[in-house]
Amino acid sequence: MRWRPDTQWQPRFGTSRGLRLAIAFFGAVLVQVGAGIAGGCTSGLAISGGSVLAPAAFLFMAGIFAGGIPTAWLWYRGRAD
Amino acid sequence: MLDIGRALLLGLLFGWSLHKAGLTHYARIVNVYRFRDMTVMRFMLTSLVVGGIAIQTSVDLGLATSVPVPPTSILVNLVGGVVFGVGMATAGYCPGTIVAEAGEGRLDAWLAGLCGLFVGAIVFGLLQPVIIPPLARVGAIGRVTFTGLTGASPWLVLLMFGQVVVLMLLLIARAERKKS
Repeated sequence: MRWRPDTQWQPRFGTSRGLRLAIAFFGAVLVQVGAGIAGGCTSGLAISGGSVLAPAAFLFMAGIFAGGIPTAWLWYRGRAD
Repeated sequence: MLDIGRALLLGLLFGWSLHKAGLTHYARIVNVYRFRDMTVMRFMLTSLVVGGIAIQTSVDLGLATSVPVPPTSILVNLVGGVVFGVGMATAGYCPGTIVAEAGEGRLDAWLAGLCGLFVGAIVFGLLQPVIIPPLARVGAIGRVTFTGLTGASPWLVLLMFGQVVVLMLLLIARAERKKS
């Protein structure tokens, strides 16, 4: 096991490992809570539910984009990279 | 034992395909929401159609007796998706890729990712009685599929869905060609 920095993470957030761990932990908690509420994750609900054409999967995907686009914009606003 | 063996084999293939598709990188996941890298969308759209055809074929051939259908509850699915999307665009993780990244030996996936999943499960367990009942009051329609709702042939619905997906994949390919 080792530390493998991401090429896009470093220009944006710097080389601090503590910051990466803090933000990644916070995101992982949100991801798990969201999956708990929705009843599944990307693979468990979106892909397997979408394969059987369940409306739940497509509502979930709409929700992911509704949450993800503004969040990514907030993290990267005003940046060219 | 047979079930554990199957789960291990399928998990192995899933982890391998996540790795090969390059979905185990922070940038790959986050850039979907910045419309800069549609790899995740291409992966998902393709797997939806291939999976749909495989599942329906298995049902028709009698290989699959029961197919699990997730319950649709409009607000529950939507709100869960929004929280999930915020987390995904923040950490560059989704639960499956955390495990795949841990398998790649990435330290942040072990220390932050897996611990976050564990803590998130506890947080959700505590919040569940407060959040879920009010959300489930709107549009909880149970374990339905578009095939069941429309009463059409599953193959007809799959054909229409497949056409939409192919169109989306072509549009993504065109947009990515323009950018490069």
